[in-house]
Amino acid sequence: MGDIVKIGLRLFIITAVAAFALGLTNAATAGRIEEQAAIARIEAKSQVLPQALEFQKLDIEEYADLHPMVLEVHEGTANGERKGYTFRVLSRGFAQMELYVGIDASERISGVNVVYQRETPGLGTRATATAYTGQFDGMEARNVFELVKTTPATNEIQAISGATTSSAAVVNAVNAAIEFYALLRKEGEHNK
Amino acid sequence: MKLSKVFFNGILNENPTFRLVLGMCPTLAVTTSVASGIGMGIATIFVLLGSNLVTSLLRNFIPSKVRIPAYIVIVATFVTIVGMVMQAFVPEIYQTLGIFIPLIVVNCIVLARIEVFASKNPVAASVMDALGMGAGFTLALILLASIREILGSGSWLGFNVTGDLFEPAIIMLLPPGAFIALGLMMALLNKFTGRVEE
Repeated sequence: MGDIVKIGLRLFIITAVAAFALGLTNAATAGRIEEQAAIARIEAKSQVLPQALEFQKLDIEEYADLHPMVLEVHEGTANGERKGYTFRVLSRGFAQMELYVGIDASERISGVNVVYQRETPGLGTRATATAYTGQFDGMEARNVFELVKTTPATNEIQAISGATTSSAAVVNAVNAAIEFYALLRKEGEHNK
Repeated sequence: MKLSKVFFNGILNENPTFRLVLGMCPTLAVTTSVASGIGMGIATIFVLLGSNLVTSLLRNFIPSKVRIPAYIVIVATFVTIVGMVMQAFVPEIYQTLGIFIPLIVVNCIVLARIEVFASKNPVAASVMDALGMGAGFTLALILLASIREILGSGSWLGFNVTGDLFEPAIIMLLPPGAFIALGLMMALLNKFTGRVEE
């Protein structure tokens, strides 16, 4: 009996010290991790819409049910002139994936940037690299994209062999941005 | 026991991948590119070092009846701390290595070295053991990843090295390629070091 108490006490001390160490590390790093994520988001917006200098967040709450993948939309401007929109989109490959998609004033994709992903290293991660996401650059944002496994035609994106799920996750995210953009455009015409 | 002998033991005689055949899950999973292999290796060295050091210090305090739960708490704590610190201070590296960090908890090399070595040896030897085993694991990962990346992507560390001599064989990047390459490498190593019993 006494033995059990002694063993239990020692195990308790080890776990308590571990929990304390984790708590301390968390307290020391949580603020910085949040800061780094905020910086990454600001940089991502400029990367997908380089023409814009300032970004204004749009209120999209009323569309949340219709387009659950789109988390945030920013209007990018330079010297008071609208340069396009950036869309923060949540997608799913093998795990959660977060991307920024930019659509410029000429209604073309100005950039796709994956800011968070947990795909298979060396395989799925290739679908998040610029060699793959660059396929969208300059493409018209009028129609949604289709994922193909052969040489791509207009509005088609060639999948990475062996990484179809991850490739599709990126295409789905861009398509969600395009659909949301169509909504914004319709609203803009209505207001004219 | 000489410290240098402990170190080199992990690289060849008891190489965790080719001799002990431990940690196969991360080995097969991440060796699709040399960069991933190096990342996994470095992250594992950190955790091995931390957990071997702490276990060796506590080897007279941890009751042997509950040593496994105690070891797991130590390893998991180290893995979580390494992950959080990297995310806060080197986010670029965390972006590329982040996926490997939680994988280390299930890497049995770490648990095996604690149980076999650190719980029975003084601190200096345990640290050398962690460094040797970590280096041996990293070397094995780089070797295996080189074969798979060159044959599967036609590149090494991201640089095109084969020109367009042959069409890269995607199968080398998929699980079957991992097993084929690892199996052939072990067979070759056994042949040249004469470890096969007649």
